[in-house]
Amino acid sequence: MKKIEFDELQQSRRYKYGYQSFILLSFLILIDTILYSFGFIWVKHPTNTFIILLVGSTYFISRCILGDAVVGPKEIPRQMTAKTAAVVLLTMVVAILIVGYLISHRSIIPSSTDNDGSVMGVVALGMWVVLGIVYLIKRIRGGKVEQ
Amino acid sequence: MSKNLRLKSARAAMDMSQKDVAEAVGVTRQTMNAIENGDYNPSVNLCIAICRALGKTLDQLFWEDEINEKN
Repeated sequence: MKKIEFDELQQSRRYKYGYQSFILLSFLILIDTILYSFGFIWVKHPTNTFIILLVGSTYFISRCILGDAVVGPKEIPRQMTAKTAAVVLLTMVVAILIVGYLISHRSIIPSSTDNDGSVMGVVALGMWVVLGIVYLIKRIRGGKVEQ
Repeated sequence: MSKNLRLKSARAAMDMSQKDVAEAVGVTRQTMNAIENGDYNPSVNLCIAICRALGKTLDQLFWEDEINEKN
């Protein structure tokens, strides 16, 4: 496992981008609420909230990529401790139990009738496409080492 | 903010690239570039680390007066 440490410029940029993302999320949720109060429902609840969260996350990660605030100057190798291993094992056991329960009780779980799942999938895919484009732009634009 | 040409010349005198100095002080090359271009005001700790890496004093690299103001 590796722990990424950012330098002071990267940290200050990440704080700034985080603040901007928070403001963006607040305004998007506010606009969504106002639209809902006027009877305009663009996507059903709670899918709209998840989409807004994805937009905010995409903005934050894109800004971090453009501002070189994703990878720190050095990666410090970190050994896996017994505590970390226990947490990982416990998480895996819980995940397997939940999946097993859901599979065995598939008949009593109500299935979704709308296409919110596919909407979320398309938005998540769009997020990855946007991040890929931002990364490519950054690679094309930057990378010149001044001697 | 104006460019820090004294830092750039001190680095060149030591025959070091931005990447070399950045690795010596534990920051990214982009951060060193931002400092040289005057886009970022480093903390005192980072200034001291840069000075140590380049064998200079804070005055020589970062102090601004009438002579060095236009640099």
